[in-house]
Amino acid sequence: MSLEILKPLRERLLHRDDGEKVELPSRDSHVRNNLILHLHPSRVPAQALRFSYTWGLGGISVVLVLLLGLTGLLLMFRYDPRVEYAYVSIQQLETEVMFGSFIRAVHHWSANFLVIASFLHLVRVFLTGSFKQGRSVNWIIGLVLFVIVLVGNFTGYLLPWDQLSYWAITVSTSLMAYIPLLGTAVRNFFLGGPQVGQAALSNFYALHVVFMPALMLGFLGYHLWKVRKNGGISQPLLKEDEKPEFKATNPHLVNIELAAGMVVLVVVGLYAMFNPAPLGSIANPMVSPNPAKAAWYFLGLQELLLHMHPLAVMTLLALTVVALAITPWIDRDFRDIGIYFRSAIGRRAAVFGSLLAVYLVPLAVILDEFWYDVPGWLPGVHTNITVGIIPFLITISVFVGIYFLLKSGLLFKNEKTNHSEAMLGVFAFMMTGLILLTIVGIYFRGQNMALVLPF
Amino acid sequence: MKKINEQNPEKDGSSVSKNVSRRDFLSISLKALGGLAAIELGAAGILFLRSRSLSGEFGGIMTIGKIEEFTPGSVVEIEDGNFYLISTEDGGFLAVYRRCPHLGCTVNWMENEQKFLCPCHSATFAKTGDFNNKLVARALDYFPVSFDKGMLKVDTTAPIVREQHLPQHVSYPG
Repeated sequence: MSLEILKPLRERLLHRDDGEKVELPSRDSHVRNNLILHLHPSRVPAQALRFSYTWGLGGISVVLVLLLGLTGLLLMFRYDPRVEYAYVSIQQLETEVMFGSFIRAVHHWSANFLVIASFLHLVRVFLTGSFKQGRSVNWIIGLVLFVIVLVGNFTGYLLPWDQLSYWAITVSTSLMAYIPLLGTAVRNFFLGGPQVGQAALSNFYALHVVFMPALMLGFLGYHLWKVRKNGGISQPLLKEDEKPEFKATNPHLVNIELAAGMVVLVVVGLYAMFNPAPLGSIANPMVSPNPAKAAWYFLGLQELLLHMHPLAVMTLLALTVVALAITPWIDRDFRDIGIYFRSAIGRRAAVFGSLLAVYLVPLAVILDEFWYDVPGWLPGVHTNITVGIIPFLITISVFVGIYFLLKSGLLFKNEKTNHSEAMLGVFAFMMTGLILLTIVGIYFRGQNMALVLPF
Repeated sequence: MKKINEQNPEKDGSSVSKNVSRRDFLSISLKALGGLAAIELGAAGILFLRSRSLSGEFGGIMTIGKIEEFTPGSVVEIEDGNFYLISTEDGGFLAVYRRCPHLGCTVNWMENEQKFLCPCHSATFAKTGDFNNKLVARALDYFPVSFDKGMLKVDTTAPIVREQHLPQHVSYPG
């Protein structure tokens, strides 16, 4: 009897599509399309689909971030952020927990690959001039994201509480103490005391599992939204009466993304299976290992520290970050947007910058190790000048020198590079130099941080 | 705002500030109160977090042992106190913080070479804690040493920063 009430409702449901003969897409595909179209426009320029333009680096980074979130959540269920138990809980993860070692390895390597992928993404965006033409805000958000990636990595580095992490964090946070006036207060604030202990572990845990992921999520969302807002990824300007060719996002772009995402998963998964995340012996504040190295992505900086006063290194770093941040305003000529190296002459400027770094940087490292001794040559002069101001000025003058050398046109048979291309040369020098310093720091520094051969 | 000005043209320009409309007043005070609340919460957060770093992890005043126990010319590591106790040849004592002033690694006492060596960037320090390397322009920090009824005490509340070693950093019993 009561079913009588439902009858009209049933009728309506059954004959809802009466008269409509077209097959409607299923509900789940509707939802899926909706999600895709939130991220992408319905059609994308064929140009933007070239894999050799973006190398999928931004997308790869997003996949790695998602993977980090997922594995990080799993690890949180097993990790204990107290100094007495942190190391033990990691040991249990490695030996007793089903797939514990694997999950930890995936988290570890994803984080490391993310540093590489986002660095390459930054370089790609610079090389194609994609910070131009109204993309300045997104360029800065991207730089912030890169810093978030590094800080996220850094805060996670302490959590295993082994010798590696303890001393890497000790060395890195000691750097903060060199910030003029505020330094020691800032360091003590982050460590929750004068040296790395329980307070530091709690701080880093909270930062690593809540604060940095939240920041990452916010900025990443903004970054992706802004790409769409800016009219998609950058492309070369169209010639007059040239019409762009468009392709449907689904399947063209979506398939590329799916494939790239899958490849990332497979590569990280396989790599993690064969390379468990490293775990040293338990942290011992009494004994610094020899050599005590920072995390590998900071070894370029640590290498600089061997040659310069920490304040000089930090000033150099701060200047570099500021220079990168204001690049869209220094280099406003957007006619070469979307073209790798700006032009043929720009490519030669970049190659020149890189090759110069390949010559100069190792030479400078070797000379400083075995030959020059500014404090010895200038006895009585304060070390702030001999290892601070002097090497700092030399480095800055090399940057400026490369710029004006390229701009003068002396190099390429009087074919002058323009402002944008000369900047590219300096950028290429700096990035190659940073990579080389990092390599020296990782492979060529042995006991007492002396230069050694890795083989 | 605009409406009021149209109605009272004489209130235009500088005299407007004397006669704030209700809407402006509310909007300004809302922003001011919001800013104040943000500052309060921020300060509360910072003070909340800072309180831990002030409590410190060092042990306060530590009693190390009898004065006679330490032979002149020796260097003893006191692990709990984070320092090396240096007994000078003339019977004085100096407690140097074992943390390298360069980047915070723990310096090791090299008995054979009679100097402190930092394994991180191979900075070296003389037996007095004085620096002899190019990277660090500062001697090892020290803790004040005091004597009480034949016992040697070290105040480890906070290391004292010094540019270089001076004779007055060494304490003598009696």
